[in-house]
Amino acid sequence: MKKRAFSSTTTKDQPKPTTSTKHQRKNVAASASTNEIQESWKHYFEDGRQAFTASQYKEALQYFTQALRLQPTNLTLLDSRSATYDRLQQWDAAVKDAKMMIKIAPQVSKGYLRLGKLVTSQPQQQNEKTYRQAALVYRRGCSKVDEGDPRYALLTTLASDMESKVNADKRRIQGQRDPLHILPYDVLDLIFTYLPFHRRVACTQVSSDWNRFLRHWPGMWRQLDFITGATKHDVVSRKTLTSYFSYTRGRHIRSFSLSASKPKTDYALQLLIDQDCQYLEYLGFSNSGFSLNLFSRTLRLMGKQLTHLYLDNCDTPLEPIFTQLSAICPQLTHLYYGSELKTEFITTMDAQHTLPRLQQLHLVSNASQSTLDVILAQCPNLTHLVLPRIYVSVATLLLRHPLPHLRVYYHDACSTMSKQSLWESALTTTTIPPPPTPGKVGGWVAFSAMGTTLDDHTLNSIVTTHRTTLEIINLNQTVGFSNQWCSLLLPPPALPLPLENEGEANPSGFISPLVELSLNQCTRLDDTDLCRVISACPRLQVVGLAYVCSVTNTTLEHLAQLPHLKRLDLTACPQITGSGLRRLVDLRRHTLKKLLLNDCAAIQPDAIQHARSVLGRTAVECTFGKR
Amino acid sequence: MSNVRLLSSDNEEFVVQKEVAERSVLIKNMLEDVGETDSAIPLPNVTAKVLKKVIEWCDHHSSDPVTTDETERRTTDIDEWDQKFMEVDQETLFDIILAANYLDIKPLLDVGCKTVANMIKGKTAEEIRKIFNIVNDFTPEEEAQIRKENEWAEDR
Repeated sequence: MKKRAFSSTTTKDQPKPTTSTKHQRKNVAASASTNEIQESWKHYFEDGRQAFTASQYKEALQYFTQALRLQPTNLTLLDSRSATYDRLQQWDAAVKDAKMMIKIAPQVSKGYLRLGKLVTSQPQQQNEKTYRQAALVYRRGCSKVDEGDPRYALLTTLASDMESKVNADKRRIQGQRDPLHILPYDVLDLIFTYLPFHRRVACTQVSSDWNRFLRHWPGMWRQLDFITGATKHDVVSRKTLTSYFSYTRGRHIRSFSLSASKPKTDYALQLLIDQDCQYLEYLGFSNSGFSLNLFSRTLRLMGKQLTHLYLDNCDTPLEPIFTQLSAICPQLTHLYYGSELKTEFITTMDAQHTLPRLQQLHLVSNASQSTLDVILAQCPNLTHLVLPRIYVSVATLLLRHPLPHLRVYYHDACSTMSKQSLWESALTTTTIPPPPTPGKVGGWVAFSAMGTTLDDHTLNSIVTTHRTTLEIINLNQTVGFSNQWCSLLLPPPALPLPLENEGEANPSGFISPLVELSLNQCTRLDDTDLCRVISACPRLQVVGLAYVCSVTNTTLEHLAQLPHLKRLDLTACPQITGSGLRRLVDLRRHTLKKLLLNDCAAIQPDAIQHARSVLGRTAVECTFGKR
Repeated sequence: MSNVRLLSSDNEEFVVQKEVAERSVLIKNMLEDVGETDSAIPLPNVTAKVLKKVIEWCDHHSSDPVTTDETERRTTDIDEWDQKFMEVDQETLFDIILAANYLDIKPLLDVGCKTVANMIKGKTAEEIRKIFNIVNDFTPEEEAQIRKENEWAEDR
């Protein structure tokens, strides 16, 4: 573009040298040598022009410079060389030539046009400042250049263009302002509380104002979470730990979690003690080793307010810690322990070891029946119990430990939720856990177990007791189950319904609260029962029916009627076909976020294609023979 | 259903259902103090442009239960309608936040703050500077030191 503009000006200007050199002729005496000089500079100019058109700017520069030696005040030559310098990115030299043009002939538009163009030529310099400079150059041109000049009009247009750009930029910048300077303190406080610790840390690097604000904002150091945002294990340096602790007083720290090597973890524990962090509420270590003595000492000194203790994959035994908890952490409500237990509990614990406030116990471990008995006996008020890796039967456990306040009970690998995410959701949903209210017994909200730990009778009694409250039921791999329990999810038998009415709106007003139902690998379920259950639970959002061979297109039709269906697992359901799938996809296109169709042999590729085009590529998962 | 008249700082009058206007604790308290009144309530800190937006929000949320549920507060999820509502230029966004703060409409203030938090989330310091047009005024030494101290949380 620019090149063409340049060559067109030069060709247009070619007759000009004679006109513009008229006044030069006054200086140079009309002699024979003048003619020669004139001829030779024209040669150089012509060669330079050709080199420029061929993008050989270095050669062009040499030719123009040669020509200028002979004709130092020729405007066209200066203009050409300035353009060449610009192409060679020798910006200062280009500007010098342009300024020289204005100096030589302030009444000619050329110099102003060149200089104005140069000021805004580089993309990184197109900002308010250069726009303003360019506007000034053009305006000055307007005042000096004769109105008869052929490019006078162009100058005025460019000047007003630049001025409007200046204003637009000003407006944009005014709209875009530092929130720190506009919003009041309590609003900023609210904004930064919504950011996790590692994001707040990133914000300290924005500017010195942000840095100062955040360092002195008490919320900044309340949650020292070095696990969530850490780029990798053991990445936090001792120096960082030391400086963070120096920015605040220990008593401001409410939460501390770290994933680091043993020496560093010990260093951190010592810091917690030295800084007198006696209001610590959350303490978490992941993949860390530490000296048990030091850890116990920390808990003893700083554990009085502790409500959450998280130890995942830490090389430390549970028993010596657990036996002390009631004495040193009387406020504890959440406990997560995720490591192998190398020995069984041998301590006999009595009433003085009870943890009456403990509400959530996540034991991601291999505890034996007897160890589990010892632990659970000390936790009478549990509301959440998560035991993903324990192969003690549900019946035995419930018989020995009635746990009247239990609401959420996961006794399997938590198929749809990972163990960590369950813990994290426990953190976000119950910031201040309400104390258990004696006397008031609520039903279970979530239950999850595997066939190996669960028998038919226990399941029946659990579902019967809690069916008015249960929102989540996961019963994966309960291969041996009969269909009977399915009918338990239907309206209570106390209000018998005519058979043909089943599965429709029922007169008793009972609507199953079930939101998530996972029956993966429950191979003995039959289609009719499944359909009845599905239509009796209109609130279902998540349904898992992987490896349930009896699922047919009729089942899909019932699933398609669920108004909130979000996630559906139909892995290895060999009877469903394309027509059933199309119907489901078309009806649930707005709610369905994830559909798993792996190893569904009877579905044709075109139906899968259709599902992908309606729901989105990532929403539909379909591979064959992976398992 | 009785109506309430609200007067913006630039003297534009809005007639709003009482129930809608009472999403603002400030207005609710004023109405309780004053009792039945025919005169317009002056809101000297809110321009007509912003007041219109705020009323739009209150109208859409007029039937929401007025509970300050702590559990909702921690997440930065914003419901779809609110997300659309907050798709405005930065100046308006800050004005809405300031108005919500002044009028004491906690849920709107929360949505506004979450929107700003989400603008900051997942961004590098340089990107944050760009968004809010902030000048990096650290000396190279200071910047190096701060970066070193915080590199454990560095993205990418």
